[in-house]
Amino acid sequence: MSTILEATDLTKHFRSGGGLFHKPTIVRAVDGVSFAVRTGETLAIVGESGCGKSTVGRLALRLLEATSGSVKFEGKDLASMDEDALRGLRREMQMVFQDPFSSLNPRMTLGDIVGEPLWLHGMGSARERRERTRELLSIVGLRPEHAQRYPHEFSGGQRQRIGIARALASNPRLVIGDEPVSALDVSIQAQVINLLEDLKDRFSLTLVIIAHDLAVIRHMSDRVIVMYLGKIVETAPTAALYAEPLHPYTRALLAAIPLPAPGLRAERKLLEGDIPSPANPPSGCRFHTRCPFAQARCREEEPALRDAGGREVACHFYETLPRADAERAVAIPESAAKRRRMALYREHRDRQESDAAAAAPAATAGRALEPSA
Amino acid sequence: MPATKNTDMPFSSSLAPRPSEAGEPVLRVEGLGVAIGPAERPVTLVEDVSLEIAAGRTLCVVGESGCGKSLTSLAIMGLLATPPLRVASGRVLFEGRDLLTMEPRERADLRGDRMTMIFQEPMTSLNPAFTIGDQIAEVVRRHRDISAEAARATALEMLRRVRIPSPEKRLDEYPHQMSGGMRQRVMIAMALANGPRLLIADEPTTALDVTIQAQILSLVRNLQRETGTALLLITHDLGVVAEVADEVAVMYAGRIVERGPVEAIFDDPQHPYTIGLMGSLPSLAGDQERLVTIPGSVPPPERMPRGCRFSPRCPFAIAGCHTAPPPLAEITPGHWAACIRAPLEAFVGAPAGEAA
Repeated sequence: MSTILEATDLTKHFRSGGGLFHKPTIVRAVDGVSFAVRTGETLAIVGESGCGKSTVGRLALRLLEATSGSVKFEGKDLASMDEDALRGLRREMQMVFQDPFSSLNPRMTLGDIVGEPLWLHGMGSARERRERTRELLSIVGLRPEHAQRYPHEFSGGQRQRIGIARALASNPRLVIGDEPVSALDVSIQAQVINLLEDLKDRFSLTLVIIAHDLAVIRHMSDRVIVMYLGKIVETAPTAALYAEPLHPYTRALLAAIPLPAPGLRAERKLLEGDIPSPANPPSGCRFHTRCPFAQARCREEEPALRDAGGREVACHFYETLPRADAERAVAIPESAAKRRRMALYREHRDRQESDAAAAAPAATAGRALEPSA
Repeated sequence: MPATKNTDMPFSSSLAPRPSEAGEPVLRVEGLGVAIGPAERPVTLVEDVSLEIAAGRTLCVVGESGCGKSLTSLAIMGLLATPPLRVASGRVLFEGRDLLTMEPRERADLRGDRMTMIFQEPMTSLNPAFTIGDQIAEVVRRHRDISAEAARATALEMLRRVRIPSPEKRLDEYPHQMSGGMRQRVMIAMALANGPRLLIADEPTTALDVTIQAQILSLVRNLQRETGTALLLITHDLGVVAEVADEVAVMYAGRIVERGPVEAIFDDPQHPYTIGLMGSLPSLAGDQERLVTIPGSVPPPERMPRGCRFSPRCPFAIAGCHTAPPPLAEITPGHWAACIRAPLEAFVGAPAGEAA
């Protein structure tokens, strides 16, 4: 499989505070992160607040300038490009943001928001752009006649669809989603996840999903990068990671998720303490202050990311740690009643959808997921 | 303090919960309604909500944005922004006394003492200009006639009980010097300082990272076990519900659509909305092909459908669903659902794939 995007030793330090009498603090948001995105895969970057996952996303598109390190899109180094070349390249890589309320210009109509990238990149005539805009709206499940409306007329889920339509406008090959569904309610979140998966298949996209929700990531991604305080602690194929997390942090993260199954309620081993500040990260392994298995070496020597058979782990001792038997089963036992009602719901939902499609042929270009205006 | 003017509201609900065998519940809400807008054309935001919680028990109210879960909790606490919001109907019985007909001063004496509340964002609930020690002590002195030293000692003890490391030092720190998780611990310390009978927690872990959320949930559970406080927890997260609830009320568009013991809700979901919500959750086991969805979105309150509020989105809706709001009916003992087609298999048959 070929590599579409490659980040090598990416580092981003922010200076914060400082003044006449104070030394500025250096926040090490991202500290030496290397990874490759393979063409056609969905790669997830997961971690808690302050782990640097969003910064990595922005560095990857050069929306932020890296302190050091390089990003290559199909072998071309982004850092060495001038603005024109970079703009041309941005056609190929787009971003979907978390908050659909602040990422859309409230003074622009849907048509302008979605059509702007086409205009920016000089794609097609005015009429062709208008056509394309209408098509894009229907692809993401909105009505083409909504092109004249403004963002405030739409719900959160619909706005996220607008953001997705805009990202798709220039026919990108790589889309980076920074928490693309985390601001949405569960039922709307499911609609948008399904939409992203449909679009990925339909347009052969490569997706990078930055998120904190491990269930969303399990559902969407092929491979996962786990970050903690600006460093990668583990990377693995999704199934392998969830079956047997190797790094103590990944284990703790998975164990902390409350499962929607009251029968699995149990007193669990929880991580102690808070996430340290990235302005003053711990020495050695950054996780050692909270790690239940930490030893003297962890405080002194920073573990390198090393091969663990098809995956990588940054832990000195992962081979010798007690087996992850404390981990919970993540498969949720389903009662017969629940399974049956779920099946009924699915059946009737499919019927409802095909009825809606038959009733509104105009919306059949995309999946008519949100028929209400 | 907002005063509620609803002195003698008729009790509108025919479906008030029965008193539990364990005796008088700490909190009993009957037919609560919250409205906004002019009296002649009110827009109902919360309608006919009835629930009860016994001492030491946890009731989770779960629902998505705009379902009225937070308004319900604010109405119970008497913290609704009145006007424009107002309690339009119902009774809120706390230890048997109706809070809605109580003198505002008396109610203010209960608040922070016998019934307390914690919110989603601890930073905005704490005063940035005072040390956390002062803020906890203030809550104690507002309701107890004790010296400043004794109140400070109580504050220290509370910080210890919510397991804040080096509490002596933290006592003199300001909110901005603490992390989100620590601030939420401070809020819990403050809420429990006077030994309340009822604690309302509105999305207490939503702003927190998952490892910190697990700590806070476990802390709340342990403290509740020690104190026997009744807990009303508002959340949108079914995982959190499964983790802490004894009973669950599922809300949709201002109404309770399903209510019952936590096992019944998860193992025997009755309302199509509850079923759709569970199907929308991605699973950690990675065993789903495609997520089940609920089509569309919640209608705005001024355009609520006349019948079942979920009917425009419901895959099982029939003509009868659109005409009148379905009553909350007892499907199995203690398990109620507001759906005229529950249990589903009795009305729509077995799923096609199922061998008899």
